[in-house]
Amino acid sequence: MTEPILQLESMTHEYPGGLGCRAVDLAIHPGEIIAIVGESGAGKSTLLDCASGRLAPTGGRVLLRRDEQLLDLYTISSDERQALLRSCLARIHQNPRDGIRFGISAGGNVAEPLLAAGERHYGAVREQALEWLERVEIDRARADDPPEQFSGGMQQRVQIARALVTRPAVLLADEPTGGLDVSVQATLIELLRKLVRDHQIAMVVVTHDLAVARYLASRMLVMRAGRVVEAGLTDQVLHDPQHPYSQSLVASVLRG
Amino acid sequence: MKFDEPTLQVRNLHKTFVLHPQGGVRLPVFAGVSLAVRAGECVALDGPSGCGKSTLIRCLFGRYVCDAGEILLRHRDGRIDLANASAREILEARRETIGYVSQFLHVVPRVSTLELVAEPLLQRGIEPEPAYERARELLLRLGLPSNLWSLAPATFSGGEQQRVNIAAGLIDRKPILLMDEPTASLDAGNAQTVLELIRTTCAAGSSVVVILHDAAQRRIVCDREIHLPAPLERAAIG
Repeated sequence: MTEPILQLESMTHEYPGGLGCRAVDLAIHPGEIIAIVGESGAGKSTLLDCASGRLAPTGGRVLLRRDEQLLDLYTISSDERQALLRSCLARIHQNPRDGIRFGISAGGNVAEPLLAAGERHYGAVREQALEWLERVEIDRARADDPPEQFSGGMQQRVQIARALVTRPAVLLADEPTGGLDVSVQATLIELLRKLVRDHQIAMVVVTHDLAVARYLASRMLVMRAGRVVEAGLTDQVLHDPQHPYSQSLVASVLRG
Repeated sequence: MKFDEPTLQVRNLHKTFVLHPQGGVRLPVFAGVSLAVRAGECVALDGPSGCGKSTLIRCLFGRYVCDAGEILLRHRDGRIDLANASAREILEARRETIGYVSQFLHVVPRVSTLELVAEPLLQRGIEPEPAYERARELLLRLGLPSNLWSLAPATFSGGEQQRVNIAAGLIDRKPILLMDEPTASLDAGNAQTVLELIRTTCAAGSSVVVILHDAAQRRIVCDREIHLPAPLERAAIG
């Protein structure tokens, strides 16, 4: 078996006013998708903030692997952390406005992370950006249009291209299909699934939608009030949940 | 490891559902199931309705959590106890050692029939062209009209969906294959094809555990039957 690429060890974050998440253990490997489910306030977004280098945990560790070495995200210097995150980790947000810039073209949005990573050859940057737009099923002819003119589903696809263009090993997604039409959701989920499979990305997807977890993830975590109450195979948690909270969560959606 | 050691050995397996939202009601399904299946063998699970045949199959695949007992699979160079393995170990066993054809197809929106059937091979890193070629062969063998192959099976009939499901379950032959009523929605001709495919799978060395309601079909395809006892008394203990 491969080594984990991202590891959370007893990770805790306490806000002054209360608990974000407590004692979360998780190890994710290349090519694997893990879903984190639970209601609002369960600590899912806090977990992503800590794992993505934005919010220092108050306890425990976040370890990211680079070149056979596990680095503790919050004990390395902030310069090192920024460089590590830029090269290894990407995040996509529920609201495209949090992940893309509306003032520049779709192609520019995808090119920007390459420029930030030090790529200087304009032609190569543009070609890579266009390739990634195609991979997320956006016509090259739309590359110079601003995302403002795009539908919500297209904006979300621009965000995915922007996140993946630098070939991160880890992708953290926060409700990536939230707020989209059901048919658009299905396309986006299938797109994410294929990209993760083809590029062997390790992906954590936070969602309150059990169908998203079922289609995408091989393993899942159920969170409640800051804690992981159940962790297991997605089909096991959905078909034979053990914890009382998981049981009520699964029972509250239609089975199919 | 001895050559004639079973590929699948179940020891003293227990399963009780506990329904927390309903006051912790306990539904015992079985207690103390043991069985062994060897390479190349096809065994049918038999027993009265409600005795837990489907539940047992789902336990053997790691979909249901067992309360006690062991599920030993011959896996790689050794054995793995699926009843006590980690999620990642179970996923590894599913990729390499154990397959499951459920009664109903789990439709993924917008994924074509051909892709859905080829997916187990693609997931294992097989090149798309040979994977799709194998998928086409199986769908042809199962008599699914080729004009349906590029469509997502959401709108297919029950029998068509079942054949897609069987194709996806058989495309990447595993040493152990679990099948829950694979002929339930099929006409006689298609059922016959599925029984032949099961025999072919066994002849290639796989162990098959199958639920078949039709006694005549069981006689055609199975080497022996394993009889599960009547359902445990379903006492609500609270």
